[in-house]
Amino acid sequence: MEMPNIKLQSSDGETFEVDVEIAKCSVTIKTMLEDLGMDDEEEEVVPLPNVNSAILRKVIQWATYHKDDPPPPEDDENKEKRTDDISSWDADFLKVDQGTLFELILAANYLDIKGLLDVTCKTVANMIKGKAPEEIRKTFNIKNDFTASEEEQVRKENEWCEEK
Amino acid sequence: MVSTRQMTIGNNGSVESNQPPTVPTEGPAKFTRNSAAASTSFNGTMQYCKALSPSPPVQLIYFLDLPQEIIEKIFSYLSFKNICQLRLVCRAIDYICGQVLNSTFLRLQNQMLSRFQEIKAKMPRRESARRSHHLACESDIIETLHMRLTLLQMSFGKHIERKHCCFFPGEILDEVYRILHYIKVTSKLDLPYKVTDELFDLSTMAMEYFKEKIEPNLPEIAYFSADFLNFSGSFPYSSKYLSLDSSALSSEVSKDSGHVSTDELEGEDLVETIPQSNMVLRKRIRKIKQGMKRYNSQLSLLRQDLRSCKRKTSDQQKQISEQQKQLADQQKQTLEYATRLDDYDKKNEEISRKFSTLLQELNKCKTELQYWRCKSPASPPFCNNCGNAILPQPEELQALMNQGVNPEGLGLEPPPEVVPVLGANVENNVEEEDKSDNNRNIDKKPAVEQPSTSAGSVKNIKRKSEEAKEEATTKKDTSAF
Repeated sequence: MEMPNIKLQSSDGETFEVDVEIAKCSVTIKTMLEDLGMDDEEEEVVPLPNVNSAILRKVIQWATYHKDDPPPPEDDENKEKRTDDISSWDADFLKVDQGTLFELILAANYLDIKGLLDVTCKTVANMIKGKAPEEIRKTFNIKNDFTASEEEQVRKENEWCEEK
Repeated sequence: MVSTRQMTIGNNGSVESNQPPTVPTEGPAKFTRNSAAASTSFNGTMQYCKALSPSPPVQLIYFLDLPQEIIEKIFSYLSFKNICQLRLVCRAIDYICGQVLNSTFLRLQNQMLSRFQEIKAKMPRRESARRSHHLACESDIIETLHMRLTLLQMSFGKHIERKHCCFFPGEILDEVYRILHYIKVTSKLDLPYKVTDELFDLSTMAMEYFKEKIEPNLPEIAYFSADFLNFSGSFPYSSKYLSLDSSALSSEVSKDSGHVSTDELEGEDLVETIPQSNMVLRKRIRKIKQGMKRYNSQLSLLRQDLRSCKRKTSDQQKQISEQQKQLADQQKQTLEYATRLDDYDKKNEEISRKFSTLLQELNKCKTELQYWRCKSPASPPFCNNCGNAILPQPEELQALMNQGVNPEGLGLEPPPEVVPVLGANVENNVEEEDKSDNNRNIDKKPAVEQPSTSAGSVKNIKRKSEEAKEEATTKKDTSAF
């Protein structure tokens, strides 16, 4: 069977040939193809200037694995905040350094791949959960730029339910 | 591992590894920060990453480099309590967390308002029918949620809008979401007050804490500025609850006996909440009231003054009218007097005319008398020549008596038969003279002439001076009048 392919070019010039159906995981690419009416035979290259080849490769890897997934549910405001529902494949897939993780998030955001964005954000949320502010600063290499009084103010506000 | 990456940095732009950095210029600057973070917590991950695929040479993106919408999305997987704790990390995260908390608080308010209205529309209006309605429990819960959020808004709202603080009690938001989730997943709701119990405690606690510990340190809000009015306008349901007193509220909210205690609490809470949050407003109102009282007292004083002035003027007007009346009376009187005076004048004129006619008569009499004296040679009573008494003629005496002269007084013997008649005649004559009828006088002239002549002669004899006697008789006559 002949799967129509599409060529995606990363910011650093590398070209990836991908099944169109897989590429359409990205709403951005999907809209682009539909709006421009790209001809399959011409094999035109879709430039993705915001994604480098390393990240693009990973994105394609993720999309290929999840190509048969049902479309993710729409965001519900009152949904339960679950971060423990990451599949083990995703968990393994996302065992990358922080920079890569953040770049994946940006790429998923740019390419509009909701499933990937959700799972990456959940992963970051898991990195934050249960950590004290100082630990979080260490984790994300953040400098505490509060003045003493500002910090005291926030601390005081957070003490509102401590006497219960 | 670190050294490998350093090498990559050193050969920035070269194609040593397959994937050169996208933005190479940022590499060195961020490297130090990254190395620290990587060495502390991500060693394992990094190694795994390296093994999986050719690793990117350096971390180019940091947590804070992520767009705010993504950070917010990440935070959306955290509980609001956790988000509140995150605020302590740094300013940027505090800012984002604050926005998340505020927007969620606002969204929940709107959501609960619309949901409350929605469910209220579905419910029957009669209280008894409402209790047995299958949505009764849900309605109670939603109503409580809506009210608690509204109360919180009354405490926090104005400060949040001015960015003085954020909605720091994140746990309340968690609790609201928990309740909403509970409503969603529970097929048969029961005991609504138990569902909202925790929210109740939390919101009360948060409001108390805010008023006691936080609000006093926040910048004061000018209540009578334009934006305050706008603010109250932008929050339509606050006014509704402000106008409710505790009893009305509890009666309105209470649905069953089990709920009553909660509602009473709510009512009390309302009463506490509103005044405390509006302390400054009340102060202003008190000031305005005092001012008004002052002005009112001044006004009442002025009114009293005015009233007394009015009274005085009315009194004076009365007096004036009275005096005018009196004046009119007096004018009438004077007119009367004037007419009377005129009358008197007329009478006087008449009288003087009478006198003048009398005088004329007397003059005539005098001349007549002189004439008669000259005529008669024997002048009575004494003859000029011999000095003997002259007896008057009887007809002369009669004439004298007719004139009212008593011949006896003259020393003359009246005729005996005539005397009694004489008195009556005299009286009649006096009366007639009083009427001053000239014509009669004239008619009597011939009768009078004789006695008067005789009387005059008697006098002349007595005093021996005609002229003086004449004068005296006239005087006597006038005094008799």
